[in-house]
Amino acid sequence: MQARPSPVGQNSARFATWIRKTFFSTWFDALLTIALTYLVVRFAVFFIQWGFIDAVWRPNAANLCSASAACWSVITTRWRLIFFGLYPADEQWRAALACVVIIAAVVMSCMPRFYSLKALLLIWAGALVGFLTLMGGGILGLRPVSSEQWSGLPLTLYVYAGVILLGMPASILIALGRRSNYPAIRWVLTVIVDTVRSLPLLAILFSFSLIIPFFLPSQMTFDKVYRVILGFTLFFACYQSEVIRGGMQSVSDDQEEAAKALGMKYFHRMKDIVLPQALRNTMPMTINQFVMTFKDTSFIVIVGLFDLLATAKSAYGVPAWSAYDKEIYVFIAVIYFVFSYLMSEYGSYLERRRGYETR
Amino acid sequence: MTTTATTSARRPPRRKKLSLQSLLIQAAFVATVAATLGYFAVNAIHAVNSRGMTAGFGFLERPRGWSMPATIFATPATDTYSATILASALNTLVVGLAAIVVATLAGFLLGLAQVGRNVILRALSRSYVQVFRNIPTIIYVLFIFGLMLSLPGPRQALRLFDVIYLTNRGLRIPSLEAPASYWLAVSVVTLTATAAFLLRRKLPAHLKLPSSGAVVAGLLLAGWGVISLTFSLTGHLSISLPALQGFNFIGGTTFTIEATTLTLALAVFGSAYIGEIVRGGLLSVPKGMIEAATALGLKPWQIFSLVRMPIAMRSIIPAISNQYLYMMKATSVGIVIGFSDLFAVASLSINYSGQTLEVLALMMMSYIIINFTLSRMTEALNAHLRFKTKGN
Repeated sequence: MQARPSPVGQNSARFATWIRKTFFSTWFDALLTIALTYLVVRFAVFFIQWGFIDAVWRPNAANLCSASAACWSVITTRWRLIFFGLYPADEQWRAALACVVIIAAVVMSCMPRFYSLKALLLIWAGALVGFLTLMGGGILGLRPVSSEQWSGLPLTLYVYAGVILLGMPASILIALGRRSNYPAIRWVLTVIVDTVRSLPLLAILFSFSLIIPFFLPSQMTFDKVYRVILGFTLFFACYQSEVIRGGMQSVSDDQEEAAKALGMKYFHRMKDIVLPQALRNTMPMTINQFVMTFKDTSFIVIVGLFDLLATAKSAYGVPAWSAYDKEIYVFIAVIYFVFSYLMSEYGSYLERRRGYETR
Repeated sequence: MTTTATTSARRPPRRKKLSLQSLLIQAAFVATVAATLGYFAVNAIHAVNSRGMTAGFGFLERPRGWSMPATIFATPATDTYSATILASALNTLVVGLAAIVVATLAGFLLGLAQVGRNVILRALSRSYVQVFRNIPTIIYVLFIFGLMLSLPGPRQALRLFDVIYLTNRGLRIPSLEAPASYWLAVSVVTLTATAAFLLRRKLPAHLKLPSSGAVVAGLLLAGWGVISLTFSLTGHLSISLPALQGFNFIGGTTFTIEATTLTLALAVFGSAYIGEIVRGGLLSVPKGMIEAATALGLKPWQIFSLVRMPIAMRSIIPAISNQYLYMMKATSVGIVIGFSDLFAVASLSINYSGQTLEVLALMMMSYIIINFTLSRMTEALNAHLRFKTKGN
């Protein structure tokens, strides 16, 4: 009779079995595991060597940088330019605070706790007032800074916040209009939405920054930032209106019919019955749209706005740093990745949670 | 006021009564829209006149007078504006289609890897998809362009089987040297086969045309083979391989670094998105189906090709067609690296010719046509693959 194996032996036997079943279950699997592990280890070693061990982290150390290792020095030296662009150096704490304000507003808008019209209005009104005061100055003893010097991350966040703020109500209006009982309104809006959705974002931004001066009397001109925000808002509103339309279709007809039976008029029906449910149902897709809009703000550099990507490009534009563009792009990619990944993970979390709730 | 019902069978069963109120509201809405457009038009005409610009599309027949940046379909500077815009649209289509093909292949492999059996492969592909989905396209374009510019010159070119070379001047690939008549013959055969296949149900049955896609594809390939054989035997068709001579290559054709960068960047971005879509589609296959298939004794590869893929495709196709439309429009990013896509050429034309509104209108029209065609094609594919339920 076999003696019972000792607990230590049993655990290591179970561990060995687990390893075998997970990684080496068939010949092909085993080969693949070995090959991939080898590749991963080699690449990891190379990357750690290039990016951390041999890399230059000290600021102002351009002479120490070589082509064989990462030169993070370009970021530690020029980070103020990358993040804040032309903003005056001693007021940059205001720009940083303004960014924090907008990020906090975005975070709060994504929490279901604050998903009511009153709360959202308060949050965003507060955020905008805060942002404009901090960036523009002129009151509360803050030195005024003209909007031409707003650049870098604050400009990106400003355009983003403007697009979302104007675009969400616009998309709700367009969605409501497309399911209205009046064929003329439906038809006009459908044509507009389908046209805008067929065009690339760049074409729309470009057209708006060029066309608006043509179509308005020459005395009425506005800043390029606001023309870009307007064009971007139209683009966002058209895509988001499709999402909301889908959401409204997913709210069963009984809800609206019951509301009609109770004598509720159109405005009250939409505001209190249909829209809250539609918006809640489509929150994951809406957050997806928010993420895509954030990534698309990188396009505004092409129409001439000095946003985060443009300031990053100017950071390596000087002869001393011109060879280190890859480090800059990796850094910017990491910034965009962090924002987008966090938002989209949150969206998936919400979707999963809704899956549990509806069971 | 009531409407009279028509006898057409397509009419909805009930019609709302037209009321004065609804007519007034609609009239007011349309009038507001028309008034706004009219206001814009008046301002635009005034602006055009005050700047001394000529309106109208006459400029299309003028020679361009400026040279196009990096392009696949070259046009000399003496070509007309209409030829220029056409060449740029073709550039967009070629790069877009190349990116779509590469992204689809890579994306499907990534999607399969994410639901596969190997744990390490799953982790690697999942991290690739999660990382590369969340970085904007323009950063890929700029980064890869920087990489391409630092590639070695022709003498130290990176080579693949000695037929494909990658240098800092572009991608050099073998090309087909053939007269125009060859391409004419090939396109005639392709168009006939496609038309016959698409119209197979409408043609008279006694012609006994093949109705299976595979047979038609086989016949098409045979047709190409016959034409190519004839042309090569008479000495008109040859494959030209790139070869290093001195400081540069002769033979073959170059795919410029701008075009290569744009294709690669769009492919990387697209493959991450398509990988996610394919994974979602494969995960949406009900477990019961797979268990039933196993119970019936099907082998794993049979279960995959007969059960999982077809069901997954039905949810993959709509999402992937969205992604294709996005990629086709994202070629406009080529302007940052100086590639002559539709958008870049449009903005240059506006700069050089001053005909802002006309060129913008043409650019929008072209994008709408491209988008419409692509979405119609994917809609047809979707309709063909959809499960036929009572509602459909």
